[in-house]
Amino acid sequence: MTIWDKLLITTVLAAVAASFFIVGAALGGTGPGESIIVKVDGVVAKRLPLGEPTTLTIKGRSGSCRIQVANGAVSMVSSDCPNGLCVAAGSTNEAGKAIVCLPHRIVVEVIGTASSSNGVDAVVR
Amino acid sequence: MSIDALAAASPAKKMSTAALLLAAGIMIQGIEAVYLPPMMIPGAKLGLANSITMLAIILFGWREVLTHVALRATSVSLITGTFLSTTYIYSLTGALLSAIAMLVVYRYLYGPLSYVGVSVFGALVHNLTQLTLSIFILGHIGIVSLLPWLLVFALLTGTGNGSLVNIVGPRLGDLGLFGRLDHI
Repeated sequence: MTIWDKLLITTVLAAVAASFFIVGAALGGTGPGESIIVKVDGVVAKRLPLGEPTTLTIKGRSGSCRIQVANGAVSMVSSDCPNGLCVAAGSTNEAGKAIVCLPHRIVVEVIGTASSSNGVDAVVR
Repeated sequence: MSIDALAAASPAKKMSTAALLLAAGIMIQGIEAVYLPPMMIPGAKLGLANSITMLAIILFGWREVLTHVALRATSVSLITGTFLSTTYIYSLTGALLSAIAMLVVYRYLYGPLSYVGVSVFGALVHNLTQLTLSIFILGHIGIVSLLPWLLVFALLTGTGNGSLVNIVGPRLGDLGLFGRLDHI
């Protein structure tokens, strides 16, 4: 490793640190949402209000996810995708946030009222 | 020097060396794709096959390198059953663009930078390509929140692969693979 390698790595590390803050600030939460939109492959499959508790199964590209709305928040309760990141994402009720299952191409977005929207669509975990 | 020996070698020697590297790349990426558990971050992987791409960059020109990565991505997708799926598109574009980036960095910045620098650039371009592509494919800007994690991963794997090539690259000649052919 040369000195320039180390310089490069340090620069990228600084960029990483900065990007944590920038991404966090740009996609930060915006207060409680009103409803959710479930998209499969970018196409809206379902719209639901956050106020009414319900559970539904959505079929995606390579399997299905169970989505639960309870206590004004949405969560993926189970999924047959290999990594289960969507389930691990927990529940959210913040407008602009989203739960994503990449293998199944399922995106659950929390939509806020017009006033609580900052123009950013979603945050993925 | 081994690399000059290859430049002067017969077409048969070049072809067999290229085939050897391709086989190694397919093996490594295939095993990684099939047996390695998915990482905590979607899309993050070791990218160990990238070190083979770097050997190809050392030994060959850009045509052979781009052919190498395209054939590797295609072959691995056939093994894992993802040929022509979105996974394949991610894999192919990431591999091609990172190879182009590494070719350019190797051509103009190798010397001041070691293979670690070249590899880090490759890993960064690979991950940024896939992130950009996933934003378009999923139609969802929120995926940007994965950016910091993917950059961290690119740094780690890029440094690891580069260190490996720092060790292996200068010793390519010692393998006896790239020596003279006429004694056979």
